[in-house]
Amino acid sequence: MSTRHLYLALAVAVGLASQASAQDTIKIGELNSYKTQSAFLDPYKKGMELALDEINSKGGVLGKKLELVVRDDGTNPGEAVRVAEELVTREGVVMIAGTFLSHIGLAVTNFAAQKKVFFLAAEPLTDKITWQNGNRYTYRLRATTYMQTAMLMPAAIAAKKKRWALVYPNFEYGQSAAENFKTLLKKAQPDVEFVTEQAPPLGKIDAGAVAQAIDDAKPDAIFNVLFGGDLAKFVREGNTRGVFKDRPVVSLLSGEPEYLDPLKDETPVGWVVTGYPWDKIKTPAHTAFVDAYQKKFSDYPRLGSVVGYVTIKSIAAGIAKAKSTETEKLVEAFAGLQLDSPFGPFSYRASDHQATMGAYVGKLALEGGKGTMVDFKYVDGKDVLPSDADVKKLRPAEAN
Amino acid sequence: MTFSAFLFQALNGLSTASGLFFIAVGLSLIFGVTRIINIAHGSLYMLGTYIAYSFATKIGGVFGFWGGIVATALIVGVIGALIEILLLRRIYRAPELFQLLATFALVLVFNDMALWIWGPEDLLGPRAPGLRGSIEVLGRRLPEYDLFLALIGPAVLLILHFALAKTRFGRLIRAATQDREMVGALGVNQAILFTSVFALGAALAGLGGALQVAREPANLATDLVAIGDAFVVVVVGGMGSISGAYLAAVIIAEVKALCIGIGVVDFGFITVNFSKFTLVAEFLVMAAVLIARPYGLLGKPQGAVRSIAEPEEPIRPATPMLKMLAVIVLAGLMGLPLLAQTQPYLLILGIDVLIAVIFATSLHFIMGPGGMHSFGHAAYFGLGAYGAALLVKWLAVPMGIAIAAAPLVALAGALLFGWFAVRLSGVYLAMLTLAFAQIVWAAVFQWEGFTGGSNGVIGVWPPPPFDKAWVYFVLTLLLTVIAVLLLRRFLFAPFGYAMRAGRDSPLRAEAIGIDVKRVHWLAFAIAGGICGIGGGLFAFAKGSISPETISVGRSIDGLVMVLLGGIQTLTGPIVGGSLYAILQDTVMRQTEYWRALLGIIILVLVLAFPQGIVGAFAALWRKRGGGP
Amino acid sequence: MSVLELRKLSKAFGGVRAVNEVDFAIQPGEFLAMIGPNGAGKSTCFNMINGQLPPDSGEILLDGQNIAGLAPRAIWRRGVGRTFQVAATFSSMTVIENVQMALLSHSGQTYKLWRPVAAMHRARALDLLGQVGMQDAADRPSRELAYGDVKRIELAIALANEPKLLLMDEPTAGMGARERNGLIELVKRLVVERGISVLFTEHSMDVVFAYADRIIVLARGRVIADGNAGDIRDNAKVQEVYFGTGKTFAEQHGVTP
Repeated sequence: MSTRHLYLALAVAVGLASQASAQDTIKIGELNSYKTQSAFLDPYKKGMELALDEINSKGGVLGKKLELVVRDDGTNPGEAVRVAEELVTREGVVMIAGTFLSHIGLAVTNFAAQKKVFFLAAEPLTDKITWQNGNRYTYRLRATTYMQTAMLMPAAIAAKKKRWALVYPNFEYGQSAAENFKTLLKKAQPDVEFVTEQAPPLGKIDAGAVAQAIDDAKPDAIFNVLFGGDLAKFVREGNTRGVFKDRPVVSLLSGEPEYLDPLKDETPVGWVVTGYPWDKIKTPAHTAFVDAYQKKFSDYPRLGSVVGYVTIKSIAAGIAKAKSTETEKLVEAFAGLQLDSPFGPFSYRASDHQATMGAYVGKLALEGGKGTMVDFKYVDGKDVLPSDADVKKLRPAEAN
Repeated sequence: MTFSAFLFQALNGLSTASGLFFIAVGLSLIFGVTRIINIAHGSLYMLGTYIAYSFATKIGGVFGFWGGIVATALIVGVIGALIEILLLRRIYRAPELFQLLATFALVLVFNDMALWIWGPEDLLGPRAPGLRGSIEVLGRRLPEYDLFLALIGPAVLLILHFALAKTRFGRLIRAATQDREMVGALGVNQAILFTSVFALGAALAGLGGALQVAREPANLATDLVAIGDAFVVVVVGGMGSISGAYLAAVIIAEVKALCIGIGVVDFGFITVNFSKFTLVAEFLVMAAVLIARPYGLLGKPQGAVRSIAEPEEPIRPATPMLKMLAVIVLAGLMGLPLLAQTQPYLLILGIDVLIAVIFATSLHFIMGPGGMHSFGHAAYFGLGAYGAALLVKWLAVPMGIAIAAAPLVALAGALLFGWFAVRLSGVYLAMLTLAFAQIVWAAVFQWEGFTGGSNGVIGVWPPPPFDKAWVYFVLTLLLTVIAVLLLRRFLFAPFGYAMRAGRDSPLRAEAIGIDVKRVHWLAFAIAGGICGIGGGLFAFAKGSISPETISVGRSIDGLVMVLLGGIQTLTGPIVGGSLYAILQDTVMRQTEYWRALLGIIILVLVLAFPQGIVGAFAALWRKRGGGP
Repeated sequence: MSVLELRKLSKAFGGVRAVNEVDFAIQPGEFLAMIGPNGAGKSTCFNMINGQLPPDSGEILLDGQNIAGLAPRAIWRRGVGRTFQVAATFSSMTVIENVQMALLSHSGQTYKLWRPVAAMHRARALDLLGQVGMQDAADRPSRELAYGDVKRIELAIALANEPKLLLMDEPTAGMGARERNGLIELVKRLVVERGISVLFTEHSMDVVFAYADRIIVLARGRVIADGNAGDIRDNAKVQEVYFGTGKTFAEQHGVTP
């Protein structure tokens, strides 16, 4: 047999072996930094499973069951792109979803445009995914850095403080949150002064020194973007050193159970935060979600659970609306797609592909040795997003 | 920043310094005596925080907290002893650095073990009983626990110092640090000495982790943060010197506290946020110290350790069998594009594997035959990748030019950094290369306007026809084959021999007219340049590039590939690179606990093939009398 | 003119003057031994000549040109070969590759990236191996060799740059008596054929007295005697220096062949 024949035979053999199995499911690819962001993504995965159960027990979508193919993205954009390719080319998924960190989300966003694959970014918050780097094939669920900062603005403005200190993790999310905050507050309150900016490396804060430096700058108020382990360290040092005494603090994400619960009795009372007071939201939609979640997992939901749950629900709704799993039809169907969530109804805007699902804004409080949110209200995403005309200007021409 | 603020920040720095000291001192002792670079040291530290958390919350109270800290140190000490007895003792005869591979596998296993036991959420322990509050210093509030930490570091330093000076065990440790063979000659039971030192070092790491329980949450990312800090402190202080470790910890902590204290400064023409420098401060300190004092602040040149491993075989041209194998593999790879329709992912994975081969082979070039253990090879990969991507982003050059420029950018970087690096040797060289890689990483990360910062450069896709996976695969294959053959050719040429002569015996090489530093410098540059080809290919394969490409993790991946394949063979890095890339791809898909699985697979390979996979087969081949 | 001349060469470590204003010269073709008790400054002197240590003061003239403070490789390039007290090879290479490496360096081909070494200078290397009686071992891994053979390889390497001066630090250290004489005879034959001058240090007095053309005695960093075997044997200062070491020349005399 000549070499050429050998390869042809090989090709045929491999081809036969890999003949796709019966097409009775719709495969959805999901990739995320499960290993390194497990505090958020562990509940997220459970949320996805819950949604999947609900959908499939009702017969799935378009008469087919949804099948989820979940992958770790190695917390690395390069890996993430390979994993996305693997999902598309080997697993034959009809679309991809997921990602957590902003830069990984951006890499996959770009991949989606290049390979014309539908991508639903679940969690990454950077504005760029739907604005500066937005494209036809990418939608995003979670309220963005801009939106969450804007949600906190009324409280920041109401504080009527002149000297502000900023503290944020030194990467895309922290940097853009700080920029958004400065721009928005300056607009509302032109005489504001930003007396110090502390930008510790993500996961490596030297909390005592940072808290002290903020105190030494003698600010009237503080804007915080730290989360996770950095937040816990910062809060404990700040409490002991009296940094938060008589100073209003507005803080992104700190009311999310993922980041609030570890603080326990250390919870900084009075901070105005965005978050998720899961045990206090009594809307029927949310109660049903919490009950189902607790029944299935014997655990309470975190914000990640909601994001995972709604991600899958969105996908099902989008496919149902498109009546197809073809990429172009999905893109069309997601534009203006309306659906319900535990937080209430929301939609995916046609203009910038951003979902209007909002977040809860409230004050941190201590109840029974645990952190919780009080005086909270739900802020709908559509109330803080710029107008369609404005975002058109932000997006590249070919994305619209 | 007022003077009192400055003084107070200096005080803050001392408590941070104690934390750094505890992470580093055990690593330093272990390295001093056993010459093992224990990557799992950060994991032991992390376990310390977790175990102490369990004591403090499950038992609780004064006893649960303080007693728990002591108990934690003992438990982690026992874990350390077990690691030495069950794992490392079996591979002391392997080529140097191979033990690093084993401890790397432990990092993976321990991390997933902690996830399994303690769950994914951060666990913030209670405040320390008796030291909950703060005291007034310089008109500011200093947490009592910080003051306690600031004092306990020097206290432990003193205790260790006296123990090393006054006890027989201590004198043995010091003797072994200076001259390991002498201790063997004195009839000391080396196995017991090594086990004890490992236990002591681990206990100190556990103690350090446990002491942090009142300050920071137990967190699954601590292991890598801690090992990074530990390396820097140990190297700045001088390997094996405990006073040096404390001195270095203080310097680094103070530099950071100062950066944070200074905060944002407006120079009129430019506004600098000094707090952002904490990202790279320690590595700048390390690079500066190593350039000025090649053995760290208080380190002494260490007597060359005669490797107890089997010496390396002379290199031989490929045997007919190997040549045939290469042709078959190459033909198989050439055939892959035929599967573009049915198995498109094979090509995608193939591209990644080939890039890994370039990465591993170029690293092996200096690590194996050059004896220069670069821990920062990712820098040159990243320089190549960023070089290519930024040319596309800013100058919109075509892909051909960008990929051609990639090795040149990497070469320039390697020429610059290599010039400093080859002046050092052994672990100091390794750490200087690491520092340079971190500096490149930080520059890329911080220089947002030019490099895109943490987001990197997005949208670097190959133009048609290379947008088809099979075409890009063929291009990658072609460049990989060229790169591998070039490096191989160099090794068989006088330059490669001169490089090995310089490694085998620098003194003798100099005595026959070889400028060893210059040869090694050029070798370093060549390896960097070739690695840059891989970087350029990577950028276009992924369509984007981010600072992760230059991260420590990637540099360590390179080491793992080289060691897995076998550092003493020329085909080792090809096999190691391919295997590791495929393993990662496969394992990551298999299970939730993929890291532990990968760790266990590496452990099995380590124990089964202590000379690397190709090394083991080569040895077997020789033993059976096959071929010279 | 002398091949090598030392002028007031000095080196101190801390406060200790290891070598103190040493003067001597080596004539073409001379086989010169440098002896002295431990700590006399032999090794320091040696290492200054071969470039491993920079002298504090003084001159080292090679063919009239001062080479003091030059790097070892520069001194080698000027025609000084050397062997080491503890012999070793480039352990990852075969026997012949060790010699080829020296030949490559001598012909300025160290930085060549293309041509494989295997075909370069092989005939010349085999010839050199032949002269030290190691031709048969040419393609064996050098790390497998017996110690005596390693010494021979080192000699072949040292001859590769056609030196006019050969420095040998304790050439017979670590060898048995018979092997020792065999090696020195070989060295002597090779250098005489080539007209090479040799400076060597040696502990074994029988070797020194039997083979050296001239002997220099160092004690506490100074030259205390300089002459032929007879002169040295009868020199009162030398006897005094060696008296405390337990070695007497009377005994040494007895074993001299």
